[in-house]
Amino acid sequence: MGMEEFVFVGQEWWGWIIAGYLFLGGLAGLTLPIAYYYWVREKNRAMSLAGGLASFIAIVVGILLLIIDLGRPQNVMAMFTSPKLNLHSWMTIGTYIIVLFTIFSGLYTLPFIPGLGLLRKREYRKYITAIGGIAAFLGLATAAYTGFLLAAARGVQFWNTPLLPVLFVASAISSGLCLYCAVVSPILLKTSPSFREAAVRIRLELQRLDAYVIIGELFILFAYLNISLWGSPGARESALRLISGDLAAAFWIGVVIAGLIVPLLILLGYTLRRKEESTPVIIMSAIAGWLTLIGALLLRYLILHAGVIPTPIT
Amino acid sequence: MPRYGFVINLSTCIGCGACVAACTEENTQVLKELSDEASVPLGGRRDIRVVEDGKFPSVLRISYHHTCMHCEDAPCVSVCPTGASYRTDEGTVLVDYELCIGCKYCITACPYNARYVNETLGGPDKCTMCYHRLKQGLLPACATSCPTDSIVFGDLDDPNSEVAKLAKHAIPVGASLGTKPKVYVIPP
Repeated sequence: MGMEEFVFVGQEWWGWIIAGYLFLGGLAGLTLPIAYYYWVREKNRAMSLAGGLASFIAIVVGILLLIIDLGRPQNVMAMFTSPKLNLHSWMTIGTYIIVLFTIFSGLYTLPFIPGLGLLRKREYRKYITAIGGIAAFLGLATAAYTGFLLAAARGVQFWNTPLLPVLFVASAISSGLCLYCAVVSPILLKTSPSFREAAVRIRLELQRLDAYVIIGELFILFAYLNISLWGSPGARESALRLISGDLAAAFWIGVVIAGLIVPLLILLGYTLRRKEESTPVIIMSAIAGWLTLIGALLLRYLILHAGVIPTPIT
Repeated sequence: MPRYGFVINLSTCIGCGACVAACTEENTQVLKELSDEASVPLGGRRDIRVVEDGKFPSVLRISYHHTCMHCEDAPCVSVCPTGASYRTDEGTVLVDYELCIGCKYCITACPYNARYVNETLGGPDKCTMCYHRLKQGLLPACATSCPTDSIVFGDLDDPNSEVAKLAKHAIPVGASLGTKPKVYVIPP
């Protein structure tokens, strides 16, 4: 009998609902900073309205998913009123980050809503820029904390690595960029004449960055799985489930090929070479975008689902 | 303050499961105070896992005990956002259902997989060392029910207690995980 032996028990408590939340948190968190960048650089209002609204909706839906997943939602206010509130827990830190992010993403988007006339006064612009800066920072914090949250769950050794927040942030950047190409840009092309002039340049900027991020994400994913194989028994077990075990088909086909490599090939081989917003380019950009988004959701689900708790039996 | 812990003697445990049944019966009564329909499922708070080891003719049939270690450095307490998971002065790890939101973070944080979701309560449930019995000066139900006295409970800091004497020669379960568990085993 060895000194320590383990039985692996699959983590079954955080599933699709939490995967959906982690995905939406990352998506919302990075969509707003991209809109903000185009506001600061060239006062692009259409992108701030569309991106801010998408970001706000995504984080609100994400928070609803979180609440749905709670086993005791009747006590949810304890997150704000508990006399023993634990400020060291990533669940607590994250809750405050997403609540503040929701408020600031809403505040940032509000003046861009047509008809309110808030943009007419030039002196308001510096306030919008300041609020947007805070919202963008909170967005990045939202995307990052979803990784730290899992990394601190000591039962699941597969998650206990600094690579996880890095992977989630990379995936969130890609998701945010793709939301523009898949959803925002097609809508703005139809509705905003001012956007149409800048559309090609902005798409090329976003997709060029996305290509770098996807390549980076592929490397981080490789590093994450490889280090897990050489790590603690639970991390190894989980990595094997993804690489060659029961989750391998979903992981290789869904995440790696459909979610990363195919979008990268579409960007490099087609859309980045087209300097016009023709229908085929819009369609191909949307396909690459949707594949990336679905892949990002699946990545989170599989990382949750592959988690095992190595229960010591000796 | 006492520092309660268990020593489980795997060399005398016959794997009968009386401790599991006693735990369920005793603690279902406690959960009834929270909800009429609540119960502790068999194997929920503590379980016996029978493992066969070795090669014929030198084989062993070992009954491993699966339960909360009441860690001194308990990850479930560290991650709980509302302070619902807490340690008592005696070092018992408990859940306060007035504060628990059912986020299940404690369950993913426990490297011993010692918690489960109680469907009726919607939140985590776990071994309490029969805290309600300790308050009455009684032993935990598992320890009283064991026919071979293989579950020894007491104050690990009291050098005259049986548990402290046995713990000196026993192995803390999964010590490499670094959470300072307070359940020890005497190997078979």
